Amino acid sequence: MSLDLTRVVSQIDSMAARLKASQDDRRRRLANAVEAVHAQGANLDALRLRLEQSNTTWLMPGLTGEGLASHFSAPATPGDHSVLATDGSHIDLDRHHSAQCYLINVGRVRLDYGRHPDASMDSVPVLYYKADEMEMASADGTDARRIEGAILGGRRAIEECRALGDMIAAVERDRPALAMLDGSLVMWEFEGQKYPEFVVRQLVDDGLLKCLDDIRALAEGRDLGLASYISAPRSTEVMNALRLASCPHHPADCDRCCRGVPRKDRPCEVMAELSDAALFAELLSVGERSAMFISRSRVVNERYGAHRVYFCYLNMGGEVARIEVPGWVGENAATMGMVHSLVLEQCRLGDGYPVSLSEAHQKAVLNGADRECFWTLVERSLAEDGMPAWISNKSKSKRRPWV
Amino acid sequence: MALSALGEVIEANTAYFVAQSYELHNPPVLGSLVHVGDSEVDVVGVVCFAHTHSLDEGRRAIARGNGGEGEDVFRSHPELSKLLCTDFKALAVGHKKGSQVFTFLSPRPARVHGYVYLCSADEVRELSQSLAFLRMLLSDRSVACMDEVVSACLRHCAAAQEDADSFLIRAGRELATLMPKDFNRVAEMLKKARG
Repeated sequence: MSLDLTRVVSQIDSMAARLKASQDDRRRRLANAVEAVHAQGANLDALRLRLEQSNTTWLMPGLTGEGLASHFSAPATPGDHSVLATDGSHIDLDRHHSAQCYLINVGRVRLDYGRHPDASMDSVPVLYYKADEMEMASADGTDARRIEGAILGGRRAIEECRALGDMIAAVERDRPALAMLDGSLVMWEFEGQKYPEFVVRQLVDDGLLKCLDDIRALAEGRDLGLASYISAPRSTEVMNALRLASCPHHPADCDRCCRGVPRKDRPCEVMAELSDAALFAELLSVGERSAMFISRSRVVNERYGAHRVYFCYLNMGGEVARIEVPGWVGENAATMGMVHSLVLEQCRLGDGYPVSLSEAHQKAVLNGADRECFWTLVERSLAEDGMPAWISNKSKSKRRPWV
Repeated sequence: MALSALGEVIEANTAYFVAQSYELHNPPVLGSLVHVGDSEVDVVGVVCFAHTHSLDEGRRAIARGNGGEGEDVFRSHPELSKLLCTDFKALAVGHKKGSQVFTFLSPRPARVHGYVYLCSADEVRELSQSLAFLRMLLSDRSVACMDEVVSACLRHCAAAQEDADSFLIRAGRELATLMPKDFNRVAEMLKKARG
């Protein structure tokens, strides 16, 4: 074992002591936040106006007609219904191997409930190796980005969504269905200036949003919900709205009002360091969902259109999860009710986490042995075709550590 | 009418083969005679063991019911039917080549991924004309409950005979010859073979 636990254990003890000492402060902050929710909930229009007029450095939520402190119980689940889920895993381009390729493995699960219970679960691996699959090029051919890292992650998200659409198309139209994805519907990595416009357009507009368009078309005239599930969310949009509510400046403008003021001295710090999940754990009973909010992230505002992301929090008992849905689901009360009841039921069946997503993950996941096996197969195949299967000295060294 | 396969061989050697049942919880019954379809030689075996388990070795089945009340676990967890599987083991006792049946081991083991079928009543009658399979079963040390397997196999064979009583008397004599110093055990096996 390379980790010297004897050296870490005293550091862990110090960390635990520090966390314990901060508990009282956290409880106080939470009590403040809960009080603020009830106070602001009574005057939603005023808060909405402040949100529109302020210029803050944090991401704020869009408000719907549901008050901040609203909480909703789940309606009854439909009788016969299906739950579909996909999840993905990938093997990234590896500069330590001569074969330049990457692999995306999508796990697909369909669970049928009701009078005729059934299940189908499989995984679809696709290897990408052609020159035009290795990079994303601008339309005029003057610029290109290699498909690796976050760009490959984006491509994988698209394949997961595309596979979900294919599965939805195979479900009988008169059968209620919930389609689930893991993680956020918001492609956070591609907002801002980090990636050139042609990359964002290909991944977001022509990629994920195109798949969502197809799913929306399939949802016309039938009971179909689409939701993504985020376990242990760290998001703070609702808390940020409370920070704004606690700000004495009207309208709030962080860059102007608090420029140069240390963070700990800012008036809104009384609401800091709390996540939305921590707040709603105080406000929601087990099984209840919060009010619906709308994501105001830049990529959503600029590109998502009808798919602009709505979200709510759901108390699963043990943890508060974040559920994200496209606008055409979030604005339909009946569909949103079905999403609420079926996500809750999936978590009950999956011991706290949706069973369909859990099985899709199991189908998709590529462990160390899978990855090793994959590269061995690649090397063997190259050798059989008389090509030198080069691997870097670092990779060789990792495979055969010596003494 | 062509019989449908019960399962598929997933492990094989000269002495036995293990097959995965196509139906969860529904392997061929203990003691039944099965054969593995092959273009040249069909290995014939006696089902001696069945086992239902998680398909993924790293994922153990856990209790999911609510104390037996309320819900049928397989109805509320349809994925279980795809996560669990039932395997069965058959001890090789002979083989078939075309229409000929031989009551000694096949020159080659069954093929992995070969389809497993239940032997027809005619095949059972032909195989059980010789009781050589009893010696093969009793000499096996890999199955803990072999006396039960022998009784079940005799019961299965007797049901295929025109004269079940005569068959069981003949089988009793063979068992007494194979286990001359173990009268009580033979009597118990025969008693169970009569059902």
